[in-house]
Amino acid sequence: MHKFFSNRKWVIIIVCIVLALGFMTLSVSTRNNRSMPPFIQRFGNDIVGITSTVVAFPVNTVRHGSENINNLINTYKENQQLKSQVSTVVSTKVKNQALQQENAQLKRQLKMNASLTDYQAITSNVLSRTPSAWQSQFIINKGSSAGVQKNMPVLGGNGLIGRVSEVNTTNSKVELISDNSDSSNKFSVAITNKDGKTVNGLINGFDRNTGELIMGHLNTEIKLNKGDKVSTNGLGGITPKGLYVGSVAKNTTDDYGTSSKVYIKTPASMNDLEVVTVAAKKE
Amino acid sequence: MLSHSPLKYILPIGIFIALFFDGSISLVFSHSLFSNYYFIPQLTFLWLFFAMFFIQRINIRIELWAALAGLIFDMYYTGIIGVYLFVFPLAIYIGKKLYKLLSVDIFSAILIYFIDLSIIYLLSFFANKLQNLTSMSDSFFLVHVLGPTLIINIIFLIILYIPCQILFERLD
Repeated sequence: MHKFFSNRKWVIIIVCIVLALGFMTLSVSTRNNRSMPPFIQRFGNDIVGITSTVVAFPVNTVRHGSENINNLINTYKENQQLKSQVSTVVSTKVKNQALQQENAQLKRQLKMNASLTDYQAITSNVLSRTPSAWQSQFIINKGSSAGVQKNMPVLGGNGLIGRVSEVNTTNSKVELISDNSDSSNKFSVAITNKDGKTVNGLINGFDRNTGELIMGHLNTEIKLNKGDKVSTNGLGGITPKGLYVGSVAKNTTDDYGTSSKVYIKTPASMNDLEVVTVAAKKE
Repeated sequence: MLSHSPLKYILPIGIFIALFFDGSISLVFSHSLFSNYYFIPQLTFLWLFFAMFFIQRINIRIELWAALAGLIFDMYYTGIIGVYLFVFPLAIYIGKKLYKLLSVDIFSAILIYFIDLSIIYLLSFFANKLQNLTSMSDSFFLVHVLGPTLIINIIFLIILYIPCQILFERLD
């Protein structure tokens, strides 16, 4: 034993392994328990984030240039489709207004200031993405100074894409809904079928091959069909109610045949993100 | 010797630029890079590797710079400190040992880089697995992550080998 440790290199290696595991445990527990990382880390991340915009700017400019050309080609096709939809938009808008007024009146009658569906949107740009296979995270340019809090849901494209996992002063990290590690929190969602019946459950998996979310451990008699809409149910945490998650792709039983397992198709690809919205629940 | 060399400034600036390019490339090309197979760009380590490989005349403490780059990488990108902070210097250290056995040409560069990257990704994968930060299976990692990542990074190495060789020889 004496001879083994007399070698200086071995001591260094063991100290390094202990330090690495210690640091990792510390940061994992910080991520799970505290609303913000320690000051030094936050300060460092803010400085790196500001410098990052300098490099990200030219890259994003090039990206916009190529996207503009693509957009131009698509515009004509889209225009044709949109024209046919315009007529219905106006009527929906008017109806929406009426419903909103009615809703406000009803809320006043109930003396309720904010319901679960009310949320405040914080729009932010995506700065960069974590170059890693097992941490699907990206960094957005709004932090605690803009009102972002930990665990707030993030919307992109047409639906829910993830939640805020770390908040710094001027930037924050967003963890995608597809990141299904044990340490990440689960989203509480509800599926409404064609008859108007609702099933509540948790999203607790991600199918890497098809890119679909999995909602398992369901024990229900209610029949769910392909195409039924899935949205958040506002239960637990600071996620508002009624954020669109996706639609049911297929409904199967799990490996043991005891409970059903629902696959959910998300509306937008989680890979082409540039602008996202952080949904803050109104207090 | 080092205090008069422009490398003193070029090396850290290069680390920062490579670090942000990693994030930007991952974001802009995320559709093709992170679909079924994961092609993870790792320009930060490539820059450190070239510095280790080409700087001969001056005795630069490349392991310390690697640790610094790893710390920023951990803090800014993953939020889990302690993975790349130790893995980058270790890979550079092993690279230096191997480098003494081989000649300075592109083939030995590819060989050493291949070994270094494998060490980096295997160790970081097992560190994440140990802390329950990923539920990826070992076989999925080997086939869908490690393989494609090695391929794309060796392509980067081949493309950037000659420009970086010229750059470092001018500066050295």
